[in-house]
Amino acid sequence: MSATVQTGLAAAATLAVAVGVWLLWLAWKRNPKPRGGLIAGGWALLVTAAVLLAPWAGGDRGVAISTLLVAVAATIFIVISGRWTLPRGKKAKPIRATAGGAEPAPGPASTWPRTVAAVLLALPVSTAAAVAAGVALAVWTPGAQADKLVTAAFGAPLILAGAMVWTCADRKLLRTTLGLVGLTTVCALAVVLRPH
Amino acid sequence: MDAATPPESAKAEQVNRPSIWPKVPPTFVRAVLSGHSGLGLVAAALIYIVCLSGTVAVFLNELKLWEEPAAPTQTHASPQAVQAFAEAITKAHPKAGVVYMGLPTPEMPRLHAYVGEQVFVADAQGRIAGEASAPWAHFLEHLHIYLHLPETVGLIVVGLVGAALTGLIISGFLAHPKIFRDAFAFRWAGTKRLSQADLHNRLSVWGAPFHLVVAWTGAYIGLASLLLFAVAGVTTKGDLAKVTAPIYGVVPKPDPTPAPFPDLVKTLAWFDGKPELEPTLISLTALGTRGQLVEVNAVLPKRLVYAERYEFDGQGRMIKTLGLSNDGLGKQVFASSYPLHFGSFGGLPVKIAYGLLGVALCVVTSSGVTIWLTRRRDRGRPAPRLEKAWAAIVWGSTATLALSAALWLALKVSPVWGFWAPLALLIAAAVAVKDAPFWTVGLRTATSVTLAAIVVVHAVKFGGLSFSGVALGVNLSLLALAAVIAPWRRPLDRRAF
Repeated sequence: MSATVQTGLAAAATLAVAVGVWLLWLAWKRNPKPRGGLIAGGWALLVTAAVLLAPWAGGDRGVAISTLLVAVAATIFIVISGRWTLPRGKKAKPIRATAGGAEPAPGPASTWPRTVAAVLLALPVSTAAAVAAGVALAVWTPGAQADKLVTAAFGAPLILAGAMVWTCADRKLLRTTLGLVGLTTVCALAVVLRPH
Repeated sequence: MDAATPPESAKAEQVNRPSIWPKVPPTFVRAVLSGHSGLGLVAAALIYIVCLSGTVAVFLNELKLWEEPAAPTQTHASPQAVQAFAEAITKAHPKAGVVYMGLPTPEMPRLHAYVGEQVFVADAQGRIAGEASAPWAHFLEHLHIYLHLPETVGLIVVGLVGAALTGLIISGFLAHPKIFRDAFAFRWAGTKRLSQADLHNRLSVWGAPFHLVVAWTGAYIGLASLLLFAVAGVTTKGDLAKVTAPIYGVVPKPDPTPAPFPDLVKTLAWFDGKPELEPTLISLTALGTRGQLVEVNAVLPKRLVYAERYEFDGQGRMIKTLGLSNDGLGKQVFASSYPLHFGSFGGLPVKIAYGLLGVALCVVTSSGVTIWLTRRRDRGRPAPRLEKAWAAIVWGSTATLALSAALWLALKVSPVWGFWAPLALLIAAAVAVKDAPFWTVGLRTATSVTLAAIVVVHAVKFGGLSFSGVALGVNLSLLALAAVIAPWRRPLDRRAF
């Protein structure tokens, strides 16, 4: 494929991103009218953009670059359609938005001792559980050795992230403690009892 | 209904069609929101500093060229020059265990070599032209990767910060089920809490893929060492090299018996006639011994992986490839994670997008804490000291980051001290006196003035070199940033809402 065709496809991909985000923006503006076609069309164009970028940028790079393009294009639409000034002396420009969000439930850190306990659970205890789970993944994930290691290295931070959120959300400290200690124990057993 | 949503929208909301998004139980939403808030408050300051330094570090190569504008540049290095440079570096630093040689690329047009933490550059003939270690850029790199803590500890702490950010991103979406439905709603002119919530949520939605990838890969990079130690302890009796061999390759046993210096001319000749491979980095281990190792990283232009690695013997014969680009999904994911984290897979346009989305992540972090503080104030339980401290962290860290560059360029003051000491003083002063708006406006002004001062200092120090090439681009960007950050307009009077 010639360089000119590849560049043309890249330009078409950029246009597809712009039109795709525009359709999604229109769908947002049209609510509550029917807008399924706009949403489907918008997303279809965004996927098409990634496909069109592939000959110029490569498959995986194309997806990454088109994702960046979508973020930039959407931000431009937000800036254009946002309300930036106070509506003094005239009717406010309607901005479609749903009612205000929920209020957070009371967290575990209601007293100093509970705060210290929650921080200990969110950091060292969660980290220990995530590392134990990572080692178990490294041992038990099927496939090549590199696949096992990478699964463990990417899996452990996700488990840690989930554990951090849980320990900061759940008022029942005993439940989070038992959950994390239980996870660590199960993973340790899985590692110890692995077939040698 | 929030204060800034007009009545028309309220009516529209009542006749709204069923949402395409699944219903989430309110108790679950409130619980996750609690975790999101709690974790955010605990980790916000570190997340902000890591994100800020990471955003600037996207342009690390440009900053290195800007900091050392007098060092020689070249678009291409002849194999003979590479050979001569390698021999000169080895002769000058015979005890260097590993020497990394960077070949000229469009992003770093220098033939250079890393010896420990020093960087040496070569002229066109491969003679050592001098040192170009770019200490401020090095400081920035260490701030982002280690927070200037001892390296192993720092890497783990930054990994924990990455995991916390990953948790915040995921919990943010679980805690805001309407966040996609309102994906374009932005009401800056509204109550403070509403404007900050819109800012927080809109940037979060559209930046989500970038934010998640950066946070997750950051957590992976930071925590990998901890995990590898644990895996090695369990499976190989602590032999780390054995554990990492499937990814990094087998490290040959040291053999100090003298051997001829490797033939890098022949090594590089192997890449002739292979336009799809662009050699960019040569790592030389235990040179001049039988145990020597010559590895060449070659970039594959249309791939996300950072490079494919080729191993050569002393006579320049290619022995094997590591398989980062084609040997299984695990290796390819591993080799793609670094370009995805650092934004080094698409030249300057991708870097600019990473820079903008990095700023967005800083804004999301800042507005998240501001929403919590504003909610407290709205409920009659203001936390003025925390408000001031947060203003000092957000704008103080930008001001002292700029200050560290200005002081380094002007007076050779250690950037580590130039950043952390004034930041600590600013936070302490902010907690003690005045109010949050004073510190926000004052520190924005200070940041703006300091950014402009950096350009002046650079111009005085380097003269005409400040106004050409990459240095000119960086200086103009600094002036543009100074103009954008300056508090030109009075804040909106939100009491009208």
